[in-house]
Amino acid sequence: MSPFADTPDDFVRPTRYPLSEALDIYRNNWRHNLRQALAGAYPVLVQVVGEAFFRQLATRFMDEHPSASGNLHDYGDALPAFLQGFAPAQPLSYLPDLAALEWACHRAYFAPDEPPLDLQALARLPEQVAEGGAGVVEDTLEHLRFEFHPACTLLASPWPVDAIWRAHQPGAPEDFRIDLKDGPCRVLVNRSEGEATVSALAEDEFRWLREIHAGATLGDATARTLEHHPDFNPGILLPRLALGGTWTRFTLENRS
Amino acid sequence: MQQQKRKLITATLGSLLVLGLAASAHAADKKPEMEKCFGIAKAGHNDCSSNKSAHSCAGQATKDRDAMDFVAVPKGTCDKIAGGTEMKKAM
Repeated sequence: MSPFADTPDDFVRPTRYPLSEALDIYRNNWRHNLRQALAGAYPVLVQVVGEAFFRQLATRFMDEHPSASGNLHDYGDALPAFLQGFAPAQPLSYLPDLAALEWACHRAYFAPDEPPLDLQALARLPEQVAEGGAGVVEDTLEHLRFEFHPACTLLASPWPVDAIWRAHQPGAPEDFRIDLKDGPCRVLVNRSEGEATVSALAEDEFRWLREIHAGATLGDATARTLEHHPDFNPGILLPRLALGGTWTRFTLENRS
Repeated sequence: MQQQKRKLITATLGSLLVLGLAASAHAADKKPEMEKCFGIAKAGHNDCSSNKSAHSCAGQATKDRDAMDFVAVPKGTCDKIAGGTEMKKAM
C-alpha cells in the first residue's frame, strides 16, 4: 500500500524511477537541505557535539518541528527549546543556552538594516530641553526611551557560553579549555559590518539594558538598576551602546 | 534613591555631549554598513555551489529513511569543556 495512493497523477511527472523511489530521493534531498540549514545556523553546536551527534539531533528535531517558512534561514528557531528535552544532550547542560546564543547571532546576521540612531539629534537634546527653562533638563530626559536595532538580542546564562562561542570561531586556538564554573555570562548580540558580535555586559549593565529593551524610560531603568547596584553609572554605558548601533531611534515623551 | 537617580541622569547629559563630538567624527568617517543583497552569504555558506549552503543542491540521490539504529553520544569539542555540577560522569 503506497502512502501516496491519493497523489494526483499530475503532481508527479513520470521519471526513470518508480514513484515511491523517486519520492524517497526527493525526501532525502529535502531532509538533507534542512539538516544543512540547521548546521549553517548552529556551527558551534556542530563542533561541540560532533557531526554524528548533530545529525541525529537534527533528524529528531526535523521530525518534531517541520519548517514553517519558505526561507531556510528562518528554520531552527525552536532548536534551543528542543535541546532542553532532548535526552541524549542532557549531560551537556549548557547546550540550550549555547544554541540560543547561536540563534541570536544567526538572526543578527539576517536582521534588516535600519537607519542608525541620530547621534547629533541626541546630543542636542540637553540644549534643546534647556530652552524650556532652567532645571527641567533632568526631569525631561528621564523620559527618554530607546528602540533596539532588530539585530540586537540580550542573553544571560549561568554558563560561560560566550567563551565557548568565542573558542569555536574561525581562527581561535584549538587547544582551549573552558570550565563551566567560569560562568555566568550576560551578553548583547549585535551586528557590525556584516558580522554578528557578542559583547559581554556586567550584571548592572545587563539589568539596565534589559529594562531599556523592555521599553522602560531612562529614569525608570536607572532607578530600578540602582536598587540592586548602587554604584551603577549609565554615563559610561550609554555612549558605548549608542555608538555601537544598539539603538535605531529615541523618543522623548513626557507622560507626567 | 531619587537624588541618586537625578545625579545619574545628569551624568548621562555629559555622555550625550560626548556623543555629539563622536557624531561629528562619525560623519567625517562614514562607512556604510555592508549592503545586504542577493548573493551575499554568511562565510562558508555561499549559494547553491557550496554544499555547506542552506540552499544546497548537494543532496545525494539515494534513499534515506533516517533509521535511528544507534544512539549517538556527543563526540566533539565538548570534552574540552569541563566542570559544572550538572555534568554526568558517564560522558
